[in-house]
Amino acid sequence: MQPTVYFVDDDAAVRDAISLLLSLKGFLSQVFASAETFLETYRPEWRGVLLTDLRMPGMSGLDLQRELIQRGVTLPVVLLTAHGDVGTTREAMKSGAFDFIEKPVDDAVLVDVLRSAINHDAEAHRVEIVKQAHRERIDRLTPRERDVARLFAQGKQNRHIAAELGISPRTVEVYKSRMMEKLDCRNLAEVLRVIQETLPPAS
Amino acid sequence: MSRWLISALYVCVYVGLDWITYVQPVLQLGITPWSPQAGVTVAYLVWLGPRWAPFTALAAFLAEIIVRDAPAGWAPHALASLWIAGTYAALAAAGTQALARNALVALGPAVRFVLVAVLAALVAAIGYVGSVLLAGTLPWSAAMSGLARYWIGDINGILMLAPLLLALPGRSDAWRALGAGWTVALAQAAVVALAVWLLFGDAFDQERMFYPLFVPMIWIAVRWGVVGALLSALAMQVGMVLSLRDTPFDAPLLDLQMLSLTLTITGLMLGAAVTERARARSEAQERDRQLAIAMRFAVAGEMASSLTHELNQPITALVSYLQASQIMYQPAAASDQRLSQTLGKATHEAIRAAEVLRRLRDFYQGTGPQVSGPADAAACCASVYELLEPRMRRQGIRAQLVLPAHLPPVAGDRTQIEMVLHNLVSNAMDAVAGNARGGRELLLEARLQGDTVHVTVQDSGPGVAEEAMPQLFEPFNTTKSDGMGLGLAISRNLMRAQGGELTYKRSAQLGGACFELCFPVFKQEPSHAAHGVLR
Repeated sequence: MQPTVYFVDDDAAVRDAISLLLSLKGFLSQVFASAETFLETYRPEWRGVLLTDLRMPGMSGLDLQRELIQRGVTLPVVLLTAHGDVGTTREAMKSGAFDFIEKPVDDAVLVDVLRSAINHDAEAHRVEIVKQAHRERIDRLTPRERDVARLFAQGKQNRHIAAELGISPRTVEVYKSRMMEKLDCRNLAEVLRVIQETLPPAS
Repeated sequence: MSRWLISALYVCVYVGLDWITYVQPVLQLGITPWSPQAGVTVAYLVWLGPRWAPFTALAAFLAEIIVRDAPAGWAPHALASLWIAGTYAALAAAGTQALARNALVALGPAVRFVLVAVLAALVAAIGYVGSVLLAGTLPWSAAMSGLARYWIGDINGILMLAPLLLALPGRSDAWRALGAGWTVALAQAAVVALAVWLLFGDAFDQERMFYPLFVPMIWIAVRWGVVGALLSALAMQVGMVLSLRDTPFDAPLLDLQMLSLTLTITGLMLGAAVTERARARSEAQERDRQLAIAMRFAVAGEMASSLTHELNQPITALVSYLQASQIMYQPAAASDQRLSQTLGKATHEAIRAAEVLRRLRDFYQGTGPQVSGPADAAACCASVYELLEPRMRRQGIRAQLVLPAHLPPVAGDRTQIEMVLHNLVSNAMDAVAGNARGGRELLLEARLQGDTVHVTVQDSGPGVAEEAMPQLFEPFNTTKSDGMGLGLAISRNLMRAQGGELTYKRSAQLGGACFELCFPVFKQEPSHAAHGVLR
């Protein structure tokens, strides 16, 4: 999925002008006339940045941002504000908006902000992909192996793990080598990293 | 003026008044039909404080010696003087100051002031009459009539003079009012003088018909309030006293005393009621004026804000188009930069236009009141209701105001809350105007729900049409031919700026519109905590 600028604004001329500017600056863009249409069309695999007007009839930019947080959408949000929307802008920034740009838009600022938002999203997405891969590999472990992994991640020696699980230290060794194999790791240090990043601490 | 000088003057005035009003006494005693000294005494002691009462005792005693040569002997008169001074000092100590002043402007205090004066005068009368009875100067057969005469004389003096003396120095507005209506005042003074001359003069000396005196008294009380009423009572009293100086010794006096008392009390009560109503009306007008100013300002602010938003959109598009044009433009010759420069200038101008709008908006945003509470939502409801009540009555609207006994203060500004309420109630009044005369109903209600105070304005009008709902709170959206469509937009903005909310639903009770205001209950902000983090 190509990183795209998803642009929400109720004014047709603004949509047209900004998307023209975006295409000239080399961005892919998709426009929406309202927050509601954006939410209806939104797909989780979308990457890039959401650029939305703050003041719109119906759902406002702030409402849209809240709704996205509610749904667990991580797409960075950049708000287009009018001068004087200080209170609302502050609120949006506090609840995690990536940045805001005042209208009328300065194209250099727009490009800067959107670039860094897209990079931010790509980075977050990359981390998420790695995590996802780790999660998938962890899922291959048997419950017993997972117990060993958890205790190992807590920094415990083989004999302590053995004592706690009621098995011999030799068996622990066997579990560990199997874990290394299943998690695609070359050494135990790598195993430790994967487990710590992915496995939730024992309850 | 030093207090000692005032006290010396007071003693002189006391003795002088006693001498002037020493008419128709009972057995050469200080029992006279009218005692202005009592009024002067109450004013004096309220003004300087009860600890100056020894001067009252001195004045009363001196009056007995100088005016009447102490008919009962020195000791009983000394005793009576001390008693009187003590009585009026107690009256002054019991917080009479506020009462005497307020008696001029409100009916409640006027009634209480009359009761207090009646009581104090009774105590003083018992003291004086008792002491001359014990001395044997006054026969027991004359005890009751003596007591009554002294009592009413003192009540009269207190009611007539104490409020006047206490209030007059601080009432420059009264003098200005008199200056504005001096022709009426002159006519009234002439009528009073004529009435006094007719009733107490020599022209008709047999039949005493007092009732005509009430006509100018009521006229004056209605026109001028308490001060005028008391002054005219004073004038009538003076006329009465002057005419009595020459009448035969045994004239029946209780009827004249009663006349005087009734006149004074009528004037005091009527005047207080009139003043109270006039003041309430002028306060309501002032509030109305303030609301109108605030509303005009809010309208201008909303206009500026909407205008900024509406114009900012095309300007944004314009600037972006121009910037896009600059990117798209490929100069034929490297030397020809004219179009590129022109596009740059056009962009600059468009941005300048946006700046102008910003400044306009800033002007109206920065200057509005930024207070958020505490405010009394119930008082706001009552105030707006009172303000619009006459209009609702004229339009045949059955309006109802429902307030709980107790509401906590809310976060908000009183004027802004009233502006919103005024707006909503006016809308409701317009909404029911289309109904038949019996079906015009309106309900203004406040109640506490958890941590918020809810105020609803409901009407029996047509309500808001389903298709109009999405635009209901948008600016420049109206169903009225003479409206700008800013009222609801402003109201919602004002409510939100105060941390509240304004919503619409259909009224369950009346079937029309129901606008609901929600206010957070006011909480003292721990303002120092925020600074603490920074430090």
